Amino acid sequence: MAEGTDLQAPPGPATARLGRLQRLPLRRLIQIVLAILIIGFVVLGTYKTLKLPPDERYDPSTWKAFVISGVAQGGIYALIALGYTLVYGVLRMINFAHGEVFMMGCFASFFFADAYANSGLLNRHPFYALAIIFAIAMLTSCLIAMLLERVAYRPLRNSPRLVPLITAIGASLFLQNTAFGFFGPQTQAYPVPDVLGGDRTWTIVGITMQRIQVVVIVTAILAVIGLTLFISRTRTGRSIRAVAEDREIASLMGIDVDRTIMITFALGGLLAGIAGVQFGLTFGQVSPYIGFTPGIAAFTASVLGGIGSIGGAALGGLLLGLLQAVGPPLLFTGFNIPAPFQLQDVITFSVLVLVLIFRPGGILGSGEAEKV
Amino acid sequence: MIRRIPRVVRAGLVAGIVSVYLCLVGIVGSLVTDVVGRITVGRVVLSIPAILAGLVVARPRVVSGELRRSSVWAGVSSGAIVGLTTGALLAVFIGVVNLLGIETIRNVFIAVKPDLMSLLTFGHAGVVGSVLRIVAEVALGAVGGAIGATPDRIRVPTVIAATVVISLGLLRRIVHPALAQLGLRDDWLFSVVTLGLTWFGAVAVFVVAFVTTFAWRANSAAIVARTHRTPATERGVRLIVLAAIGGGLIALPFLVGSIFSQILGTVGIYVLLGLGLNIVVGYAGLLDLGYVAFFAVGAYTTAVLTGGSRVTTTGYAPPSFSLHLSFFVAIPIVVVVAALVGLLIGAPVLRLRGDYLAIVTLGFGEIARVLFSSDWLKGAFGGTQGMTAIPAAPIGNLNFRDTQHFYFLVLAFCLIALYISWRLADSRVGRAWNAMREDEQVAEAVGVSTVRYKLLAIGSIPGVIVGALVLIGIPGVFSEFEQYRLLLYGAVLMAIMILRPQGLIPNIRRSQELEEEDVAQDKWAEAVTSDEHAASAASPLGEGAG
Repeated sequence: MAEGTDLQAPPGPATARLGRLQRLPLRRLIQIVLAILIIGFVVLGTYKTLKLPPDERYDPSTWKAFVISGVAQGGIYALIALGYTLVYGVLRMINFAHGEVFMMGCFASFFFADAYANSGLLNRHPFYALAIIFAIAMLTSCLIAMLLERVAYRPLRNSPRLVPLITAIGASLFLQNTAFGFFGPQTQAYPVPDVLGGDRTWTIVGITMQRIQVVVIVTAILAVIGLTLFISRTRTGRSIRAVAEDREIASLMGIDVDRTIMITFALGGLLAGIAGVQFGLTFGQVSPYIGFTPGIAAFTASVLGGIGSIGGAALGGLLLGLLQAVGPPLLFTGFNIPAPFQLQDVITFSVLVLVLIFRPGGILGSGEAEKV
Repeated sequence: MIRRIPRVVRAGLVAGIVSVYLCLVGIVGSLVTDVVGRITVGRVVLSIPAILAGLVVARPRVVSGELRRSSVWAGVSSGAIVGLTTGALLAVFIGVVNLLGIETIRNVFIAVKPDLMSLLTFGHAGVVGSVLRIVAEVALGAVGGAIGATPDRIRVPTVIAATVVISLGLLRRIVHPALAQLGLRDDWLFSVVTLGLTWFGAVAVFVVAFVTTFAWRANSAAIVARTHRTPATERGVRLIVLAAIGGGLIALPFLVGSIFSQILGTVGIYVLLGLGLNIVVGYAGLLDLGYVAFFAVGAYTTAVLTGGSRVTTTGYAPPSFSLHLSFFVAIPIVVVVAALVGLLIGAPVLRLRGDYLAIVTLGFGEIARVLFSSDWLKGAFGGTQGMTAIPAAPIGNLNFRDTQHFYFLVLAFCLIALYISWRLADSRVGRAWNAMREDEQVAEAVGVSTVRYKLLAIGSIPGVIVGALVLIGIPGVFSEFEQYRLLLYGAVLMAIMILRPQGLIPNIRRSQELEEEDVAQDKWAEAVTSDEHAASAASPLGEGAG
């Protein structure tokens, strides 16, 4: 942009001054200072934490636990992030209400899980019960995502980008408060089958993990593989890719664009439903407000990995989960900051802001010019 | 498949789904204040979907380029079919609840209570209740159909008069003291028992409102033409209007009592916020979702500078850094601090494209919230408990704790902000913003160094004021809706974006452009549906899509 202005501006004392200012823009300066500050903070924080006296230090097994829980958390983020990435890839739109889609799936499955826990089915046949619970969550999230697309987004398909974004914020508020009105404001305990509960562990290739974490990681991996196969191998997947490439040309090639976009939302919903159950099982609770933070975190994850790319969303989710689990104790403990995990969201958003400033295309993405 | 269902039935199904939704979300059952006689807010809300659907179906519409107007009789019958469908759906809902039992349903949907069911079935169990509900919905749909099919000059006053009656029924808390202040009796209007309108009062208000609106609409064109004849009279009229507004603003808090003054003060604060956001979003076209962070920075800075206290478990404690400046000394410092924070945040991210900028600013807003409420900065800002005992702003003996005095303080700041944004709009900066918002390439070519943004024309000064009044004032005044405020915000946000993206009161220049565009695009439709035109401009900004 700076060069463009220079080319068009006639030479003269005023523009010469302007040109010099533009060669060293304030923005770039602030970016550099920002980068130095953050790198300094990270290095110093890490150093101070690792140099703490032995009795204040986390022992290695605690670090290991942080890492594993980070991976599990990352699995959940990855699945939600895939929903953002799919919709972004096809519509170039940030579906801000996706966190609420996830929350609705979690809530719907909660009522079944609760009923099964009361009737004892959850502990007698945990596998079947969980299969039904997952199916319910996926179905609900899928339906809500499709409804959202049909009612809120389709009429705005050709509007400027900010219009659907504002609509999505409205939809997010609406869904959150709908859950509030339907199910009540209180946080409810999400039942976990005994087989997976408490401190029961499995040891896989020498790593001891809580069983819930194993379930979360395995389902997340299966879902990502399943989605990748669907997108790359099936006819519908091909039409999704075509619409993402160029909507008008795709429609000229005989692809039903409306249907394809609907299916994209449905896929995102299915994955969000899976993530909803994983969230319920991991944290053992559900409330109308659980959608916002994981939603934003997952969006950050998809941006981190490179929005629009499936591998990127998975990788971004994993990285963000790790950053959230390992970051606060590693960076903040050394500074004697109390309750470091309160600042988890600061890490999330800092990552989001920094990625967008320094590498808007994300780790795997290339569309740098898209965002700036 | 959906397209094959007749339009009338489709409208009825939508109304039915909306009705069931309203029941489940709790609006129908929990809003039990009486509006007219024994009709509660919940009942009024429940009757709206069928009436609206009937109205929409019966309204004149364009079929292949030709305006088709239905007769009142046809309107009533199609409205009745709409109502029948709606009623059938509600009957299914009632049936399902009866089949599974209220308690079972209530485990999931907490709003399904015996009260709600008896409201739906008029207190009759079994089939009778369902049939009564269907009959009621048919009647409502027919009423809607009748309203929809009548010509504009009757329909508009009817809708307005009905709205006035319902609003007045909800406003006893405010209208009653105001009337008492003026020494007027209102026991003919408001029932002493139910606190809503009496039937006599409702009918009287309806008639008065109807006749007034009808007469105004019939004559307004002539009146306007007469008064606006010369620039001199126009200036005079404008002065009179300004004086009237000024007088009204000054008299308002004394007229309406202290509860309403407090609401007005809150509205004023949101007007201030809205004016600021209007500069960012409306003038410059940057959707800043973290704008409230500056609000927080300003509030916390004021608290620290004027000597507020932290709330701790043992009582109040001074923050780690504290001054005891007067509010008016603190204000300029606060403004500078907030502006510096804005500059610091803004500079690195301003190159981002619109929707990414929105998310990043949202992120900054959340960071501010997390930091202010964290244990880490508890010593400075009080953590989740926050700060309190912030000294009032004193001028002589006035300390602005009183809600009516506070109103004037807010009013003064609003006027200053209004003046600034007004002048800003026409200043060099304002014109540059405007230019880059409209077309960044042209703006750049003529020498405006732009940041690349598409606009969202939700910005206009009167629009901000009306918006704040609507969003903050209405839930504040109609306190029944308080619980559903955010739900309504969400719904309103979606509805405005889908139906009327240029906002409630669009920027004049912008809306003129939009109209021209529309005229060019669908002249034929414009000519026949001039009264339906506003709602149909679904995507007037469409030229810059993608």
